[in-house]
Amino acid sequence: MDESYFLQLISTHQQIIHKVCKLYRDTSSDREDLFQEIVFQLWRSIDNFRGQSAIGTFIYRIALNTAMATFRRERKKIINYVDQVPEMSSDDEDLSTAERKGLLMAAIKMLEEADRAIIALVLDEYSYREIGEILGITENNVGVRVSRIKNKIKVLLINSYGI
Amino acid sequence: MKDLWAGQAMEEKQKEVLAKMIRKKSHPILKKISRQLALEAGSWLVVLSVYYSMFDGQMRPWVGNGVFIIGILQAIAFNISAYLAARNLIQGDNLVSSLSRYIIELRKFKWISLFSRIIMMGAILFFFLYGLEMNTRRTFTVLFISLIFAGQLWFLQNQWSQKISKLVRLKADFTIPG
Repeated sequence: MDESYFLQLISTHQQIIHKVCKLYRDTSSDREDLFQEIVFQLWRSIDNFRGQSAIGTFIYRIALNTAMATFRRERKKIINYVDQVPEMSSDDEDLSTAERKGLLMAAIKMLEEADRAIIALVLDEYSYREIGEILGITENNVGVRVSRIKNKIKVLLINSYGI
Repeated sequence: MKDLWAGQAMEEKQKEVLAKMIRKKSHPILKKISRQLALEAGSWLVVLSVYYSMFDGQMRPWVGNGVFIIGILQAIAFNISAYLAARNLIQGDNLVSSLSRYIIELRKFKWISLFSRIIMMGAILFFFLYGLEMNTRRTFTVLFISLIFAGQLWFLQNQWSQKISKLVRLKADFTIPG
């Protein structure tokens, strides 16, 4: 593929890469390294993209694969967002949208790596069939997992933040 | 939840920045690894260039010299091939198949890596011990060095095993139905 066309595609879909970096790395420098690694891996694999699926699906697959397969020093599960969260009211109407976004991301990051991938794809409105194709699992398995993950997120939000 | 997810604030990277990311030279991880590789390979090449005069290579038979050189060269060659192979993260049409193939590759590399290290250590010992008359003190010294080598091997295999088992667990998280 032509380099400038590739860069245009990545530029248009870079939000996918940012989301994956945010989900799988805790510090900004780790996220920056992962972002670069994903773009590099995409460039290496782009010729295998045959247009059978949407380009976004392809980017998601390579991004998730890269995030999970690259090795990094294991850190204790510390969620940075927690420090930024103010005292919570039991009434979630009091939370600003930005705070709610932060809490959602923090809760998703507490999930297992496999579950993070599934819920990210669900929230980006991929169908169960597409998710199954990206991950290599059955549609049925995706369905079972999605409801379980949603429950986990609810429990995490209630237990950790009281909302 | 979908609205909150869709509205996550992300910085936007310009095309010029993205263009730099596909160049191997500006890749932070590749740069770090290749620098380390160059340093290691360079150090061994220095050893190879001076060992003959420094460690009395001329006083040892060609077999001893040959084993020493081959032992070190194969370790350098393995490091380079491992570095190149480690970049092949994407190996399948979906995540699980890609992880499966990557795990198989890593397992293969684990054994090759251990084997390569054993050959190198064996070659070093063979070179230095060739024709040496052993006494109690020397025997203990050799045993001590062998223990250090064994410790290094254990550390190396442990590192590989940790990486592999993390990926195996990850793959199981996907494939074992919820």
